[in-house]
Amino acid sequence: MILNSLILSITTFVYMGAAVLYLGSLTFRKEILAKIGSGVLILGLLSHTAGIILRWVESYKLGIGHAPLSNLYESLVFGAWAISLIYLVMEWRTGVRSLGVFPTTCAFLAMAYASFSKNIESSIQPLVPALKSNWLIAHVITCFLGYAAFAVSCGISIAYLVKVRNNPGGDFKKKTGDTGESTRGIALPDIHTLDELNYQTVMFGFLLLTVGIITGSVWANKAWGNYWSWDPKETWSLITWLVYAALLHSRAVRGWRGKKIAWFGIIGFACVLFTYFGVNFLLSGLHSYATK
Amino acid sequence: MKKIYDFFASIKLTVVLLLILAATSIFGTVIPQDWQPFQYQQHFGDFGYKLIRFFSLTDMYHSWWFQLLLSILVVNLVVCTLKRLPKTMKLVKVSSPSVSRERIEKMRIHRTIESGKDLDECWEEILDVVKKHFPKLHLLRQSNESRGLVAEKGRYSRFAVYVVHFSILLIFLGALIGSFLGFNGFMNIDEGTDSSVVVTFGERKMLELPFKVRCEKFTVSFYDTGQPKDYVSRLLVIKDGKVVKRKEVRVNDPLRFDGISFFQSNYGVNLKGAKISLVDEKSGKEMKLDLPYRETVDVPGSDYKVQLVDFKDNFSGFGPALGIMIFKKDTEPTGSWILVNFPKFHGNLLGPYKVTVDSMEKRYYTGLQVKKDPGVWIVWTGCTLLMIAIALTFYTSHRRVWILAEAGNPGSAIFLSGNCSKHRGAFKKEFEVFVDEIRRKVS
Ligand code: HEM
Repeated sequence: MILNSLILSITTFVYMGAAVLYLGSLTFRKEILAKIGSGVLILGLLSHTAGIILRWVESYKLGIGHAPLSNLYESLVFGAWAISLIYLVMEWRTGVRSLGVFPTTCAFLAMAYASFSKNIESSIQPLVPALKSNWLIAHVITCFLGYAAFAVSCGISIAYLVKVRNNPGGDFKKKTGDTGESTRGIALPDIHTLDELNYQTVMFGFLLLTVGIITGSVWANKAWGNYWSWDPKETWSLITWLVYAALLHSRAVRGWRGKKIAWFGIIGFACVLFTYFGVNFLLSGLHSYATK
Repeated sequence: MKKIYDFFASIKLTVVLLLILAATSIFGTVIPQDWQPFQYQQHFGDFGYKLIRFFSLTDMYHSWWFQLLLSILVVNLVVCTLKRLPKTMKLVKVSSPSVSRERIEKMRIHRTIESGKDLDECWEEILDVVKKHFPKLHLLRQSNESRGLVAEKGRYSRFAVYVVHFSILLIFLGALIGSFLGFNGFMNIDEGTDSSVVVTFGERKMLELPFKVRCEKFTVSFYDTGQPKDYVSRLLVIKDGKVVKRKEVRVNDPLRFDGISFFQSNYGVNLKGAKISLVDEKSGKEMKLDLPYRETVDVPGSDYKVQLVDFKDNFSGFGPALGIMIFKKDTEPTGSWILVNFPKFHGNLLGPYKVTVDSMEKRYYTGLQVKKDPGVWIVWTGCTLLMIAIALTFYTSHRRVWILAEAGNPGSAIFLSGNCSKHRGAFKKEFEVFVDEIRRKVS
């Protein structure tokens, strides 16, 4: 196994460790476990970054140098990297450590699938002509940062729903100062914080998804002369975009909060997953290069 | 009228439309959009195909109902804008012209500071701090007893969301212009030849360009693994007999001329010509002929002419075959398929001659996608605006503070309040910092 793949496989287990620690901290309500979890996650992110950079360097050594963003394996690895990065930034900015289970589990699963699935080619491949484009790099990076933010938002949405279930105070009510801190629930932030965090993450994701869709269509226009051709992958990213646009409108203008937004966040992330996996495995189109 | 207006002015409609568009778009990703009718019939059955036809699902993104949904979205957007823009204008223009203690204390975010300094001194300090934080400042009431001000920043951020919606309209407009005034087709040019005919996708119309495109050379290179590495066509644009542009076109790097773009899209191999031998069945005389592809050649010593008109890589399992026509004045042309690898085949006959193929010469042709889209710049303008405006909508806000300072006896009292269009949490913190700074300065 080449060094970069080895490092990336090890990273997989580091993420698993972080996920277990975060879960433990919620189950046993021990802050210290979450702190260790954060430390482990940071280690994971560092080795992950090193792995990606090494892969980049190795591709140049093979004489087929390109940014490691070109096939299913590389995009899964980058997606997992983006999730840990975005989650860690959120944790650092808010000081909330209790939302780590979902993002770290996602990062772990993506890495495990990339590293250990038989269907996924992990060796470095040369680029076919259509993929040689800086727009493509911009497209993949922005899309995946967006997807990663939506993954984090999905985690927050789930936390919200768990919180509301465990909480006799019930769903979000406008203008209640009482946040109904639960007695037997887990140490999640109060629902107002969760709702606000969710909104912030979705905004970030929406902005990046917008940039991602646009850079993607610039690329398609350069490569094929069509900025939009309703290919299934494109269409599904538009569907995702529409769902999140609906979320933002219902929140900003209709004043929806709480549970409804949380469900929106989960449905939106389901669309992300389908855009990524469903289209590759169930539908076909321009982007099916990614399955090779 | 009012009812119709209200219907289109509702954001509920927007949310519902966005979700309907999302849900219906799924059909077009599950049902292939470019099949032949019989393929649909085989796959979905007769009834299924009828349903698909009825809802135009074979080309659903261009169907009347999908376009109708998009049109309703546009109307919805325009009406919402017309309804809300005046209110936003008001919010931006008129900062509350007066300030009073009651008003300040009624606002959600407000603070009071007691100071030992007298009013003039306090006011100087306050103005300093306010100017540092807020670019725009209106003095309200200035007397010996009390002074007031409103200061604000980011008021144009209230317009960002209108720019978001406007850029969506721009994108629609650009797409419309492209579909009415542009075209999208392909042309295949053999190496060393030129062409000016474009065949459009879909309707398969032939369009004649006002200039010729010549392919001087086509090359394809491969990686060691056998995957294609690069396709390159060396193209010339010839107008009125003169070469007006040259370019090496490759994937991701098209030729653009006169508003028309030529994209490297595929390639293939065509026949360039063939050398054949003809044996007159009566006289037994043999002659060799050089046939360039699709050019008429005289058969020496006769009044026959022949033309190499077609080529098949694999003719009914017998390998490559040449389609050759033979004709003579006042007779119907006839033609046949000559098998290249079976020189003895009894069907290798052309009029009075037996034919064998001595050699074939092939050449690449380059497949270009040809596109004219006069709306594309509008689309890109819309996209750029959209990205910037979404960022501004999300990350900027209109923030205001009202300050009233009253002369006390002794010292003075300062009442401050703040208000923002977005991100109240962040603004609260910002406001606290601001208040603390003033408190330090006046204490
Ligand atoms: C088609 C009809 C649409 C209508 C009638 C509509 C209407 C509105 C309105 C009234 C607002 C609130 C403005 C305010 O805060 O005062 C808004 C916000 C917004 N709209 Fe739209 N909109 C439409 C489509 C879209 C689409 C397709 C997008 C996709 C980008 C979009 C993106 C946004 C964004 C990003 C916001 C800000 C949301 C926030 O502040 O969180 N809108 N829209």
